[in-house]
Amino acid sequence: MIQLKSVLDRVTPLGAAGALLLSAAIPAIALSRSANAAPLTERSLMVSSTIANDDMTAPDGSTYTNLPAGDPRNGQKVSHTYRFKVSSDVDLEGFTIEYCEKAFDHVGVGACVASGGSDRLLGTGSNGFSAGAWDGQTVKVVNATQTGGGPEVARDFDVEANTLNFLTLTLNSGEADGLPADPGDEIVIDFVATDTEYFVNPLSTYKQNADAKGTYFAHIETFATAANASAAFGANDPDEVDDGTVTNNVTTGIGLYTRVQETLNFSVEGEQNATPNGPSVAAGSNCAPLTESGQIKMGDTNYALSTNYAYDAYSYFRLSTNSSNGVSVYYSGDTLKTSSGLDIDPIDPDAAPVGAKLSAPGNEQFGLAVDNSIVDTNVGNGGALTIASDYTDGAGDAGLEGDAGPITAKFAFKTTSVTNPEVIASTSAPNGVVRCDTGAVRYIANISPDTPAGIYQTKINYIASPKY
Amino acid sequence: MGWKQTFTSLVLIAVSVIVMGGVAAAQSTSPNYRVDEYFFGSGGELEACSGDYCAKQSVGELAAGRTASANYQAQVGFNTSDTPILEVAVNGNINFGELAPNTTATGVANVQVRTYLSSGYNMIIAGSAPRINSHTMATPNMPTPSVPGTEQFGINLVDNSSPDVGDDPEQVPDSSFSFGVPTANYNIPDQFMYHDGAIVASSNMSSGQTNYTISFIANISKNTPAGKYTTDLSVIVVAAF
Repeated sequence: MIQLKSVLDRVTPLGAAGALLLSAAIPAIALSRSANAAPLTERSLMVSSTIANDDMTAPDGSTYTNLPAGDPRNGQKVSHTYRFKVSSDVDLEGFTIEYCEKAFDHVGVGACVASGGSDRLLGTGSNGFSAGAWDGQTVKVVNATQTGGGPEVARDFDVEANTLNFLTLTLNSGEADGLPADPGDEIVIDFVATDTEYFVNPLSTYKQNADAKGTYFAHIETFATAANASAAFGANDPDEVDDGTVTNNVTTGIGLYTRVQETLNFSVEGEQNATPNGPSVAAGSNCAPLTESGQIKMGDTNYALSTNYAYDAYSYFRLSTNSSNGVSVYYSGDTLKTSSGLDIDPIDPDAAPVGAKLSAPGNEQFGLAVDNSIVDTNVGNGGALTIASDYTDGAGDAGLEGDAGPITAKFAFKTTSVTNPEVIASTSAPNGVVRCDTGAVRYIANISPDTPAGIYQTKINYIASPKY
Repeated sequence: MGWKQTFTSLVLIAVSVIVMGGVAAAQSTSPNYRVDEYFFGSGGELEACSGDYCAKQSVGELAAGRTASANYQAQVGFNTSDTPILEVAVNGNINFGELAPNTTATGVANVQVRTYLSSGYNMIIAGSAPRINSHTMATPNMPTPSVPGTEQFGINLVDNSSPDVGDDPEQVPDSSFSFGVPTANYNIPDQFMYHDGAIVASSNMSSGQTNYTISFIANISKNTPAGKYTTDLSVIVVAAF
């Protein structure tokens, strides 16, 4: 006896004799997919994540929290996108989508109810797959073919409250007519996950289901009227137009873990020439460290200061670090002092007028600032580091012997840096990384006629502190 | 316009029998119908049951298996399954260890895909490249060689020699049954790229099991921000029916 095969198993068997005659006369008998509905063709279901809803462990062992809806790592708030082509020439006012463990036996036959087992689609106590968050929401359904490159051909559909694995979409009351659909038109139903509208993937134990092995099926039906769509749930023979089944599944994700070590390269040196020549070593591709001595001397050929002119000196620092959250370069030290405690007044940026102050020959001053005009330096001139506000104006005329004027260079110095290092330059997140910055620090020293004689010295310490 | 169509349950299609044991179908679809399974033979029983046992029977079945042309395919035989199948298995958690600018870190993940009664599938890898809060590793946007010292995260689905990682897809049991292949950007040895949501492999017909090996590479530069980089990639197989 030939039994005519129907995917929906709706065909009545024929008798053997009739079948033999049939096979002799006509070599092949073919069936449509459904006796009552035309097939949806080229149908597919795309999801934003296939990770089980209970798999929220990150590769480093931590637990994911507050993942965005629709994130590939988020099996608890998942987007579903349906694409299919209709076969019938019917304007559509309703859709149903039923999620099942099997391709068939859906809509009223009861194959999709939750059981007590953890390997079932709906889990135990409904902690498995769920479409429930869509109840009461509105979804836009698009005819992509008729939209083409022009105005969108779409209608809003309301999601009726139903079981966790069954969605009923009915034409929104604000729509004048149904979604137009000609045979071969592609329809797109895009359930975009948000914090309040989403699908929940099955549990990881659903992969142990002997039949499903993690695969679930979604049976789609289209309807000419909203009433027919609403009546479809539980009906053994719903009045659908077209239908079809798609699949997707839950899998484990691919977890990747690695570590990049923290790096910091920081060096300083003093300018050894009377005229600043820049850092002694070019940075090059490897950000080579500075190697010269940190000793610098200020003054004339006898290292004596003058009441008529200013005297300056330079040091350099070079920094590279992969600290994404930023890095600060500090200075820490005291003003020029004799061993008996006599000092040269620092240029206090906190004293009125507040801020860095112009070099003033003939007045006691000690200060520093970044000079961005020195060759082979980039701090203040294209580098990553930003100069702190009181230390930006070290370039220019400072009142040195031979300077034509006017004086433009400004300096500052905080003696409080001895205990509270003072930031001279920094970066911050998200652009914290410093590939290779080289900065020039200019020091100024002026004396007044009543500055006591003596040997004045100090040691300035530079500190780089990255924030990883 | 809305109206209800009623279809008959039988559609007769003219075919020609070529040889005993083999059949060929000219077309098994129309704008309104598609045939996934059909039978040539003398008869049979889908459910021949006694009290305790059931069996499927066929008499004089001429042929069984998959038949296809460039644009159509169907399953031939009385006892072909009518259940569409999509099976995906993923195995892969990768710890690259501590990255260094002068070496390439590598790893592999295995994915098995099988479909039945589909028109094919696309396999998509979704997720960001390894990242920390403030930085995501750079990814080549076209197939690119691995370059130590240049920040890169990339994948491909073939065997590589530089670095030595990965394997070509395996068709189970052989290429007459299974047809999954990497897509063009991911099938070049020693060339890697990564794009979140890209189709990395596909089959344009129902396919037996294809075992894919995904090769991962990671390189850093001196300036790659420090930290623990992680990501979770979702393997999404979209079958078309």
